[in-house]
Amino acid sequence: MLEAHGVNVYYGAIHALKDVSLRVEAGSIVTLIGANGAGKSTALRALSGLHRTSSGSVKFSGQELSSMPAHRIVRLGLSHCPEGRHVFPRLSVKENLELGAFIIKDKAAIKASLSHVFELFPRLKERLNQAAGTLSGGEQQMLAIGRAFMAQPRLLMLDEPSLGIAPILVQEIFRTIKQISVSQNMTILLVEQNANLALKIADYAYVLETGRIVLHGKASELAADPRIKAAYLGH
Amino acid sequence: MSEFLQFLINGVAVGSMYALIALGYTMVYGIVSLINFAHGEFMMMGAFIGALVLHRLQGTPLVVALLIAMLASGLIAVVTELVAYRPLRNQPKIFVLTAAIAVSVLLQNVARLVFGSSAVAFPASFPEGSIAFDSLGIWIEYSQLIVLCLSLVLMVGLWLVVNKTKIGMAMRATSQDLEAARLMGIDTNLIISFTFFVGASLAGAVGVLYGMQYSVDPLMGVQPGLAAFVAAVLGGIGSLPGAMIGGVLIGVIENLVAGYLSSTYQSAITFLILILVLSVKPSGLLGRMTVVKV
Ligand SMILES: Nc1ncnc2c1ncn2[C@@H]1O[C@H](COP(=O)(O)OP(=O)(O)OP(=O)(O)O)[C@@H](O)[C@H]1O
Ligand SMILES: [Mg+2]
Repeated sequence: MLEAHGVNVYYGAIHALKDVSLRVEAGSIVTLIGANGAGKSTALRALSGLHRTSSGSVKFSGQELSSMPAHRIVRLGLSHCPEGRHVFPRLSVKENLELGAFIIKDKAAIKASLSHVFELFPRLKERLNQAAGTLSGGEQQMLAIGRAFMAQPRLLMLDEPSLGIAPILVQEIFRTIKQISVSQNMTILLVEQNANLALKIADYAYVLETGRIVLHGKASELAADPRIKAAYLGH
Repeated sequence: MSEFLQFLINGVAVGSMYALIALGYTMVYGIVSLINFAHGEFMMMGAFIGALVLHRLQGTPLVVALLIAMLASGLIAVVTELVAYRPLRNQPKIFVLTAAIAVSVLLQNVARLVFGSSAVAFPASFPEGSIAFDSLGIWIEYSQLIVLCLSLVLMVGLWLVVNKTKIGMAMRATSQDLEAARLMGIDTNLIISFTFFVGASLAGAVGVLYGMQYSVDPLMGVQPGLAAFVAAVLGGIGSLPGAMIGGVLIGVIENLVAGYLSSTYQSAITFLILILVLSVKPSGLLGRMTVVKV
């Protein structure tokens, strides 16, 4: 479904992604793990068009993305839930969700995905008219995921949904991610620092270290890999 | 008392025009964090183009001339953003501020070259006369009434666009988080162009009203532009209601100062009030940002 090949990204003189290649198969959950500053967010930003790649190719369902602006990429069915949530703080929960469906014309389809988001995150329904900026961190994360979901993407990219959220809520959010993948048959590319959790729900995993993919394989195999255990799982 | 009420009426009438100009400052600031110093010149261009249309195409209804002036001012602003501001968007803020000042001077000189440097009378004027309220000892000129009504119509129109349409929703999203807006599928460059267009067309409308009341000249945008800038900061830059309230307040203050003290102190006192308000509430009356980035 998604295939990146030899992608390089620079921030000025900083070489943030070095020859990154990865594949995301339709229907799977793929996770990209790595330490702070490894380049995980940069990778997602490059895929969704927020940041230009300087070389390499990114193909989504056969379409080349690397010179396409972000607002067109999302129309192809690739939705990016950014690190730090980035909800629209002074818009209501409802308006945030409506903006998630900005590219969708069919009113009935918008309604259907809205009620689906409420099923996934019942709390959002209770706070429909509240300004998003006044939600708790966890609620904002739910809103950000719900908003990305509203675009009805074929591939949903999530950047650190566990960031700054109480452990109990993290569990809940990860369960929901798994649920989205299974019940909606949505493909998911998940960036996480919490490798433990990510490897549990993922099918396949890539490990990023200072801008380079150093390891990849089945999530279950990587979870058992001693190098991963030592570096990322805290055993 | 009646004197005071009269100053108040005069102030609100002028202030509603400041408010319309201030809306453009604040909208543009809200979306690209730029104080567009050329904004007063969009108003001046509107006045000249309205005058030109009425002069060349005799018999054009005033409303049509007004709409053409608004359209033209809007387009000038769109081109300005495209050519002078957009290429500098990722540079330090001072670059684009400098570009705005350059555009301001450039437009003044273009107007001087094309239309001459002396003030010319606007080809149309407001109906003479006023409505008097004898019991209160005050009166409202027809011109003031028209200015007030038109300002109200434009402000309500703006409010509807911003709050009730899809493009308005995209504008609000873009001004709150540009990157997130892009991820929603919003063409933020288009939204920025549209914002410049709307802001400048409001200024262009004021240009026509101003021209009809006074006259038209290449520097006519400077004073109202400055007053409206002060109004936008006073109201809280980035806030639409703030710009409206700030505009009316500045108009009223100016008229009270000119009426009770002297018109020579008008600008000085306006700025004094601005400084006082900002020292107590740096984000302006309705602003939410704690720091005003100029
Ligand atoms: N806008 C930027 N300008 C300059 N350097 C940047 C910028 N954004 C990221 N970087 C650098 O690029 C590298 C990768 O950053 P990135 O945000 O992709 O890491 P990450 O893996 O997402 O880290 P984290 O887990 O902390 O979110 C880091 O060294 C970072 O300092
Ligand atoms: Mg990151």
